[in-house]
Amino acid sequence: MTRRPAQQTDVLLEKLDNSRLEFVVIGGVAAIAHGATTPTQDLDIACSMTPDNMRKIMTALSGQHPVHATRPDLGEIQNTPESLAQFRMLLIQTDVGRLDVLGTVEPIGGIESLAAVSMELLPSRSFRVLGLEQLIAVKAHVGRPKDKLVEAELRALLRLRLSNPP
Amino acid sequence: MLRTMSPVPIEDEVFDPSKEMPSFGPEWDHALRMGIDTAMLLENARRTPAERIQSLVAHNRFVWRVHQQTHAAELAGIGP
Repeated sequence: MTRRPAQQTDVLLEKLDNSRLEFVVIGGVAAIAHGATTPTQDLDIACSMTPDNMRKIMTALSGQHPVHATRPDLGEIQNTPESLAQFRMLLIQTDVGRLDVLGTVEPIGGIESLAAVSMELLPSRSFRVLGLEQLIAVKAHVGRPKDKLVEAELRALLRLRLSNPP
Repeated sequence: MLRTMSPVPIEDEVFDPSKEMPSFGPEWDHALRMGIDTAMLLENARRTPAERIQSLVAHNRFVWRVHQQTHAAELAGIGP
């Protein structure tokens, strides 16, 4: 059996929502939320890297055996919230999938700079999702081949939205 | 249709997706040229964000199951 578990983005979102963490959904899941078709195997979020937020994240993931995705050999994450808050980003593998936590979203900035929109990603649960224009800017900035494809999808969706206003 | 049997010049047979699919502007046409399935984009546009996330979760579950089966077959020595 493969060691990496199935990516259960819905479960991760639910757990983070239950923790009362203030975060913005970014990356591939944000692109999917806006209508892109390219699947993604992780959940990227942006939040302030404060000890309080780190505590909320680790509480949300308790019981899901969270490990640093780049150092799974170290075992379950034992860092204090204060220590985790020193990280620029957290790449966490859990039993319900991969969660990447970013303190800064290049080329835009911290969570206070993000233009997020509210979207019902789970039934009766709304989340803050990075707006389409900023998401396009992020994908253009990253510039990997797969990001270029998603960027093209998002630009097409933006054009479609402008052609068919709600 | 075989080109040798076609009454139209070969140049006219070249598939130009922008002529076959609806266009919503230059960005839409660019996506088509990149090979993006704009029919799927249109279908997605009709869905709610929750439905799109549900679809992603189902996709990931399916991919995971395929990986599991492939890995199990390899361990049993019957895989590729």
